[in-house]
Order: sequence, then structure tokens, then C-alpha cells
Amino acid sequence: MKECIIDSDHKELISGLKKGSQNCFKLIYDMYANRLYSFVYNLTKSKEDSLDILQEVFERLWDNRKKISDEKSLESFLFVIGKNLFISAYRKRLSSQKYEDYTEYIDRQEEYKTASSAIEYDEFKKILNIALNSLPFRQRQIVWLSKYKGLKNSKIAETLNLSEQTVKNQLSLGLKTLRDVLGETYFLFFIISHLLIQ
Amino acid sequence: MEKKYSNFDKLERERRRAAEMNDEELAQLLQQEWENNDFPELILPADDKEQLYADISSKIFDNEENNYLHSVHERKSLLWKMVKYAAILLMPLLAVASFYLYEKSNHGTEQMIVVQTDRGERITVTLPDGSEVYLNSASVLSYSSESFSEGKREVKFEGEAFFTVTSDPTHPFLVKTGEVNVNVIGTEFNVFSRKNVEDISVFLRKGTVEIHCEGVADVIKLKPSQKAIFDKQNKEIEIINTDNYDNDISWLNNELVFNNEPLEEVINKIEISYGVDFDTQNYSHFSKDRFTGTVPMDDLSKVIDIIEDVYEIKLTVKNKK
Repeated sequence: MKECIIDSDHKELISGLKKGSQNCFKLIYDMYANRLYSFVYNLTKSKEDSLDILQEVFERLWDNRKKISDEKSLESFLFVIGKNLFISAYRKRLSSQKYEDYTEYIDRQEEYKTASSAIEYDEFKKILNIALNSLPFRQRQIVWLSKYKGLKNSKIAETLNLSEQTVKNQLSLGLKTLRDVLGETYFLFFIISHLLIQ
Repeated sequence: MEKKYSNFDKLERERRRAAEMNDEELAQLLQQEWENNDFPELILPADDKEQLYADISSKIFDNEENNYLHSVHERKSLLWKMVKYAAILLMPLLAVASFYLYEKSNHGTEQMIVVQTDRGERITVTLPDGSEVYLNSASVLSYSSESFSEGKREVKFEGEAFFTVTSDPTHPFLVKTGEVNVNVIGTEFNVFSRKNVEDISVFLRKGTVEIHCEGVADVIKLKPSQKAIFDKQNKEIEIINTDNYDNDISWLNNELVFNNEPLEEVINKIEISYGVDFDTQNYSHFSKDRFTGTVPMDDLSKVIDIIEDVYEIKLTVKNKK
């Protein structure tokens, strides 16, 4: 396999990549992986999502290597091939109810300056899911529709073919169970009480 | 006190900003951030970095080798190809013959009748009780005619089909599909249940059905215009109200309707209903992009035009099955 040279303007590197050199590809990966990871993490706030996107971008880089124009830098080429992934990941995080919960949790942590450091968003999502999944089916369904799909009680009643009173009862029952299960876990307690006020 | 709610406020600000921008404008903004290094620098742990590289290289480099081997293999196997086509041509004949022989020979034991559609094929099956099942492409329906004659109306099914069930309150009609059983009295409904798709969905047009899902204690009763979606992995059911028309039954009108679906799923559905395969390389860079729109089910060149226009790609059909 052909050796690869890192030259100042990356000309050798790009032409090596275009010829299909796996060494050159590895060098480019080593040069950009960390920076791209930081950039994508800033959009997704999730390590798992960021790694997925990184994988896709580098695979696209290999598949599209013949399209790199010499004038354009590798840097902007990496952005162009990943552009739609970045945008949709960023929009997805912004519109996520779970991320909103997470910011409230972080703010709360900072406000009270608790000794324990705040957990990451990935971890937060996992704990929230475990808590939700511990609920009986009907309650989980109603809590889910109410909190994460933003449906009003009347709409939930209509959708699930239940009376509005039943929805109300099941919702508060579900939230109470969540509170009991998670009584120890302070931050989730906060989210649950926040839910109750709504 | 200014720090209070700062993360939440920041999210709200970002939301407002993103809402005011289209994708092109947002891309420009993000590109500036990328080029100016305008984001906190993080360290990708060495383990993760190595693992990720291993994943990437095994996927892209192995793929190339496989493609190469594949093409060499194909050139050699003209004879095999001829045998294959002969077999494909004979298959319908074989199916009819074996079905006929099976019915004739199997007296005394339970007779399972199996009706299977190939990709690109759609047929109507009339069951012994007069109920009709319109089977979409690549679907299998099986039932025992003996059970039916004893009044036990039960069918097994996988794929996609629209059921029109003859009303008979004393003999409930049961559709078993994967993890879901649909119990019917007299009704019209669509079932979508494919092994490689995460959800099983049941859309009810008329009448009532009851749905039992594996791992879910409650029985779900659907009302007309409602649609139940069962998530096979998480064992969760979602019920949606529709306006008595759902994308699920668009195939009855010879249309494929897509609503914000990833291109790879869109292509997969087109491949199933036309019985063709597209060259994956044509669209692999866009496979996660979402597509919304309606395409006909009886004009492949038009479908190809639409997809090519939207994504500015060239789609090539590999082989017609």
C-alpha cells in the first residue's frame, strides 16, 4: 500500500485519498475525528448520536472521495457531505421534550450547587426511560401522550377511547407511582412535580 | 441571579433562532461555526476513536472487496442464471400444481392453504366464509379450510393486506400476525406486518376489532378511523385517530403515499410493490433523508423520475424479478 504524506496544503493527502489509499484515509480520520466530534457533540449533546454521525460522515467521505475538488479544502468538504446530518440532528435535539427536561435539571443543579456533578444528557435519557418503563402500560401510555406528545387530557381521552376523568386519574396515579419509584432520585422528583403543576 | 434557568433560556433562544431559518440558512450558520472552531473542544476518548475507526473501515473496505468478488462470481455463472430464470418462470405453475395436489391428497389431516404473493404481485383471496382478503405484494396468508367449515374462522398472515370480513357475530374472525392477534366481528381493515419493519399497524375502516398484543395485558378495541401501531421491540401500542383515510391503505388506490419517511424505506416499498431492485450505490448517501409525497404504483418510470428529480440522483434498476 502506498505511503501517505501529510503536506501543508493537503494536496498529497487528497490525491492519495482519491486514488483509494487506505493509509491516507486513516490519516485524515486521525486529523479530523476529534474536531468533528466536538462540533457534532455541540449540536447533539449526545455521545451516542455524535458517534453515529461521525461514522456516517467518514463513510460518505470514502464513498465520495473522487468528488473532492483540489481547490476546496478537506475541511469544507467534510462539512458539505455531512451538512444534512448536522442540521437534522441539531433540529431534532432542539425540538426534543427530553432535552428541555434536561436543561431544567441542569439549571436546578447549578442553582442549588449540589455536591454531585450533573450527569450527561445520554445518561439522563436512560434513567428517564427506565422510570417511565416501570409504569403499568396504560399509565405509561397516558403519561407519554401527555408529557412527550403534548396532548391535552381531553384529546388523550378521545384517542384512547376513555373518559376524561379516567385519563385524569390515571395520569396523576402514574405520576405518583413515578414519584414513589424515584423518590430517592432528586432530579427526577423535580421533573415529576413540574409535571403535576402543569 | 442571572444564571438561573440559563440552560433552559439558551435552549429557548436557540429554538427561536432555528425556527426562523430554513435549512440553507442554518447550514451557513453551522458552517461558520465549523470553520471558525466556534464550539467547545472535547476529547474523543482513544478507545472510542479506535472502535469507531474499526467500524468504519470494516464497513467501507470490506464492502469494496465483497463487491469485487460478487462481480467476478456473476460473470462466471451464466448457466446458473439460466437455471434461475427457468425456475422463476416455472414457479407459478409449481405453486398452482402443488396447491392442487395438496388439497386433493390431504384428506383427514388438517389442510393448510397457503397463498403467497411475490414482489410486484397483488391478488384477492376469497375465504370459505365469503370474506375477502386483498393481498399486497410479498405477503403470505394461510388458513385451514377444515377449521373454516367447523366455524372456526382463523387466518395467519404476514405482509400487508386489506380485509373485508363477512359479519357473523357468533363466529369471530381471528387474524394472527407476528406478536399481534386481531379479533374481528364484521369489518373492513388493513394490516401491515412485515418481519423487517419495527411496527405492526392495524387500520380500521369499518366495524370493530379487538387487538391482543404479545407482552401487553390490555385488549385494545379500535373504533372506525382509528389506527393501532404496535412497537414490536418495546411492546408498546399507540392509537391514532385518522380521518378515515390512512397512508396505510393508499395501496388500494394504486398509490404509494409517504409521509416524512427515510429514503431507504421509501425505496424498499417501491422495490416490493414493483418487484425490482435498485442499485444501492445510487442513493446510499441520501438513505436517511426524509421523503414526503405520493407516487403511482403502476408507472415505474414516473416513480424513478420523481425520486431522481427530488434527490438529483440517477436510479438504476438492477434486475427485474
